[in-house]
Amino acid sequence: MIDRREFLFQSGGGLGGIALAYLLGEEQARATGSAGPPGADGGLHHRPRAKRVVQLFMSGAASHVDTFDYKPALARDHGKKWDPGENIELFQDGHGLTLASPWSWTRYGKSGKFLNEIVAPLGECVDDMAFIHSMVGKTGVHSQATYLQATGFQTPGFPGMGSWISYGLGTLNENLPTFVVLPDHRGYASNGPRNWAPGFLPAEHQGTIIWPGLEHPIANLFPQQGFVNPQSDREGLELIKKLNRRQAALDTTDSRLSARVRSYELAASLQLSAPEALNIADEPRDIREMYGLHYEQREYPKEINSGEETYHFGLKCLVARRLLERGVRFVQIWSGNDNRHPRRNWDSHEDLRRDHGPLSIGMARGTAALIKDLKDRGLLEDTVILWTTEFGRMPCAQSLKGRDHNPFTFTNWLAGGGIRGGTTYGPSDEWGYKPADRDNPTTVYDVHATILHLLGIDHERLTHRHNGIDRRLTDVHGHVLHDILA
Amino acid sequence: MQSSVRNRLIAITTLLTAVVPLPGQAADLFQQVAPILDARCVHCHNVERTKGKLALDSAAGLRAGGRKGAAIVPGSPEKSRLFQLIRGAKPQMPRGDDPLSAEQVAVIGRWISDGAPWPEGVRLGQKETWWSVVPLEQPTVPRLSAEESAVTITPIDAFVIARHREKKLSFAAPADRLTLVRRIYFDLLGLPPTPAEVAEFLSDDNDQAYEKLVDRLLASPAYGERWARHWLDVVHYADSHGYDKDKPRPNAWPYRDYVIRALNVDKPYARFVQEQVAGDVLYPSTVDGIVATGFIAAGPWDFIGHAEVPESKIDGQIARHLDRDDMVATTLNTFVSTTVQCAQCHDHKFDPITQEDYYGLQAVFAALDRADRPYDLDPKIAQKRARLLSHKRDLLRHKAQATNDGSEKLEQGLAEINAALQQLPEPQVVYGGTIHGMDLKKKRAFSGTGARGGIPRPIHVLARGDVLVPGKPAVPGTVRLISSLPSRFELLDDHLEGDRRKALAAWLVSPQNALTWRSIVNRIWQYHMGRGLVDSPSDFGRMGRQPSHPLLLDWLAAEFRDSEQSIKALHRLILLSAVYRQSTVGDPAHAKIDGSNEFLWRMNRRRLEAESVRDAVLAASGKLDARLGGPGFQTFVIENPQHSPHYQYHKHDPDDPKSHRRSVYRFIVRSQVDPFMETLDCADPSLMVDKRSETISAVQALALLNDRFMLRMCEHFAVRLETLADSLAERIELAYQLTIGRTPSDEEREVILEYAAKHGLANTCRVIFNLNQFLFVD
Repeated sequence: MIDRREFLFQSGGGLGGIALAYLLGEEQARATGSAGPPGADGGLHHRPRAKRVVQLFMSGAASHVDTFDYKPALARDHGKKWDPGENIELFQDGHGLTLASPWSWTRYGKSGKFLNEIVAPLGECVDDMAFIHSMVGKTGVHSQATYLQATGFQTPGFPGMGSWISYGLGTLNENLPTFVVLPDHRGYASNGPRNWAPGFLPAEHQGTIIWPGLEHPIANLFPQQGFVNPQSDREGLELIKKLNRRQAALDTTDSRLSARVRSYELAASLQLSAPEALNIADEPRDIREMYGLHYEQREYPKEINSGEETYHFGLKCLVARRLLERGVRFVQIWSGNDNRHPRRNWDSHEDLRRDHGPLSIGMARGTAALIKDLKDRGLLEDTVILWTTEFGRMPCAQSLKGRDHNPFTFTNWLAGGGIRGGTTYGPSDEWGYKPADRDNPTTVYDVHATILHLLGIDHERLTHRHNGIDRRLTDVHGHVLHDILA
Repeated sequence: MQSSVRNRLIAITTLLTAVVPLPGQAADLFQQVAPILDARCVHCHNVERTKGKLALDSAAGLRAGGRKGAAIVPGSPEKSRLFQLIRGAKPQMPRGDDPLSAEQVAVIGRWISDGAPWPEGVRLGQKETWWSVVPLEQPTVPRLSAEESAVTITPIDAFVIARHREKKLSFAAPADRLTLVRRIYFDLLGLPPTPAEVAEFLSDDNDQAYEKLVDRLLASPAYGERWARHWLDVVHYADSHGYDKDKPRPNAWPYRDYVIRALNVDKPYARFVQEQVAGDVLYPSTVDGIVATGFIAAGPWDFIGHAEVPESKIDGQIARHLDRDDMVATTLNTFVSTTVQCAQCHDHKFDPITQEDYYGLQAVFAALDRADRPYDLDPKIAQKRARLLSHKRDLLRHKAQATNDGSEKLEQGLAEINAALQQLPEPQVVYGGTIHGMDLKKKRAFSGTGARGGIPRPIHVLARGDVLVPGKPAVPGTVRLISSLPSRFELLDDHLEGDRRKALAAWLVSPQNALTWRSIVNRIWQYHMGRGLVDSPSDFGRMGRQPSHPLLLDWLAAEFRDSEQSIKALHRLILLSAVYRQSTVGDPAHAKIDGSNEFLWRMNRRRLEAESVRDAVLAASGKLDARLGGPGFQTFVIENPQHSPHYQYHKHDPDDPKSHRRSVYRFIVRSQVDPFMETLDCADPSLMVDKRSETISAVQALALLNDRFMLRMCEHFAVRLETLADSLAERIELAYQLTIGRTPSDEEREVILEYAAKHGLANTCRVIFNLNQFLFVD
């Protein structure tokens, strides 16, 4: 059998394959039983419906019953004892009285989906969205739960979904990273960069961190030391290329040597394409305003506020659109920093109004702009958007105005390529405590399997052997959710 | 699944000295049935492990039947329960696995029709047939022709040549001395040779010049620093917990120093293993005995799941379950290259490892947590403290078990012990595997088993690994892979938790445990040659790779086991071989036969590891601080260390001299790996890394070009060159010697000089640090 590296070189490196092939540190069967090499349109195993993914991750655990999962029973029983008739184990023992959402609910779209006031900007998009209200996790511990949603495993060391997709499908534009992460502007969420680490996959599949709006949004893109000037830099690169090429010619059986020559050419391309992709100055005013960039940039930690949330989340969404347009395959956008006090993420144990209010409205404005903008440009039809969080929050109150962790049910939604818009799948029970059908919950494996399916990948066949186990994004689980597919 | 069946070796061992053969047709039928039973049934139904009280590995077992009666009715497949359970569209057996093929079912049917013949004295089983668990005996060295002997130096070469003969391969020419000296410096020390050291070796015309060099480098303390890093990759050592609120572990480093020390003093391997698993029990008053338990605690730890969630809660139980899983997996992967963690949710699909085995191993670690533990440098104080702590543990255990009688006396005894402990000098502290809750410090963030006298937590076999579905209690033990060693430990009813670890350590280092010896020699071989004789160093099971040179592996393993178990002697054996001393450029025709160089017809060219790149850059720039040991240096600024620390790498000053020590002393943060080192493929401390990946990417090129550390070192390197040499030409000459280990060719000199004249030395150093010849070792 011809090895993959050789195949891609021989096939002339169309399909973005050269970059993929030489970046491969070590040959591994990428997809067992694959019919052929991956193409630029994806599709390792079948014809894809989408080729790009945006993952929106709400760190700290966003409340489903205050955003997308309307539960009239909570308003009905507000202030009464909440008793689902079984023993409830809470993370912080926050078992107060039944708590209605502090905000109102309104129907939107042809589908008539109820949305909470704090996600109202998404009302215009509900007919493009498919909601899953029966998501279940495994624990109420942030770190393990975040790993589970990000990588499919509760413990560290596993590749994120973006890494798997980069590994499976490769790049659409070799002058930009394949997998980009836009962290919360305040810093990393629980687990830090391990959430998008390559794990046992080759290192080039890790997420590349971009901090939009900073002076140096990408680390090491340009030298920051006075002695290197543009001319010495350019001529230095030329000299490196010349000497490395000469050495590579001495042993043509070692492809790593020529791969290094090429890596410097790619680095130079990235230096040109990344600043262009991140430069939002040429965006028209109406677009900038749609993404909320006219909001004030008041900075935390004075107080968590909707202006700041709108500006920063909107900026990330706009940058995401520009990256997707230019061929970045997977963009992960984070809302919410770590679990320090005062709160700077969605972990509203104490006060939903204080944290969920501004975080959510900021998120909803940016996200709605992203969906509409992608749709206007014809990109939504082959881009999948996933909104997720590590778990949900309880129907009852904690410290009167907050909610404790609820790993027993929470909400995800998807939109875009191949998704049946206006769908609500797998309802939760009347309180949003557990799935209505407890025997058939939805898991992160199902969501991951569905996204891979849309990209033309059979989740059971995208594997990588590590320490004696053929690892998959979906472990040994996962069913494609055909009910939410168009 | 099907492939695993195909790969499985068929084992037919004889129980009796005299096997009674079957007549022709019956023998044929049995020959057809045996592999099916062996591959698909015997794993669960055997004399030791009788699911449904049924053993299908012997004639006696077959006849005896199971809980539900007879397994077969000879002559009548339709009436045979075994046959009923395996046929049909959705057969009940093999449970949880693919059904047998129609052909296989038909064969079994024919066999039962014929009376289910089974030769007396024959037992089926997979034991000891897989290459890695076959008892280890030293093979004889292959005989070579005179011509072949002429190019051999050590017995290793004979084994490699024997394989060459089969594959029509041959050695590459020996590497020249210049190549060899750079190779061996990076290999043994992880540092480049200085120009003086190169000159010394080149001019040494002693016959034994190379041997002398090997010995000198093995005696250097830098050797332990270099090779400890390999071990720390495997055990996933770091200086922070990982997970959420990734807090620092300020006392992890004594374990890192222990590994360096153990290698430098060439501690016999069995002792090295025993100390790490049970040093506190076996050698309680020694420094190494205690700090070696850093091994058990080396991996990640979920602070929230332990410190903020009590063990009484489900989430707390899950966190502790995952924590023990890491201890078990690390121990078995590291020492015996066995991926036992697969058996957490179900019996191992490919290797004969059961859930009972797995939870037996969890029981071994069930009393332990990861926490700071005290140790004393003075052995007398250590003995005294050990006595007091052991006494205290006894009292606490009595207290946990006893009735009210004598409780006053108990309390008094405890108070006396505490007072005596207070009198002892302040101990040193290492983060290790320990019975937690007996700290000298009163205040503790979470409680372990200490308050109950270190009685192990009850461990059950968990259905699907779910803490909510506990099955039968687990029996402390290990995997059943080595048939000459019992897998369930013989322990007294009132044994201490340490007895369990002692038993595991004894199993690990038993001369009969072939896995241990094959595992370590394979790891050492890999780090020298770039590829293991088994290219899956932490998995010797059926999902791993087969050895490329099985006889050589066994020869080395037996040699190592049966001598002093000296890792340095093993290095020497490998380094002196002709195999090791080959050029990296071999006969190009051989590439068509063996493109990946599995059969070693040339030396593998190695890319420098992240640590070697950083250390070599520091060394060339004249900034390397060679001090040994002690707390790690930081390449970040830590913010908010009390709650959720932020590790801000971009705020670190690369000129901070504290950070100019060798990279093995780097403070390793689990959640945020140093981005520069990560780009160069350093080990991810969340993973047990048995072999580093080696990637080449644009991001890596940018890091080598533009990382602030690299740029500052270019400037320092330039200043150093200016002070050491006068003309630009001499400075370039020296720059090459300090990085690439040789002088530039005329062509190189010309273009480099031209560039240097135009852009200065610092820019030139930046070019040199980005050359393939700097980053690769031939």
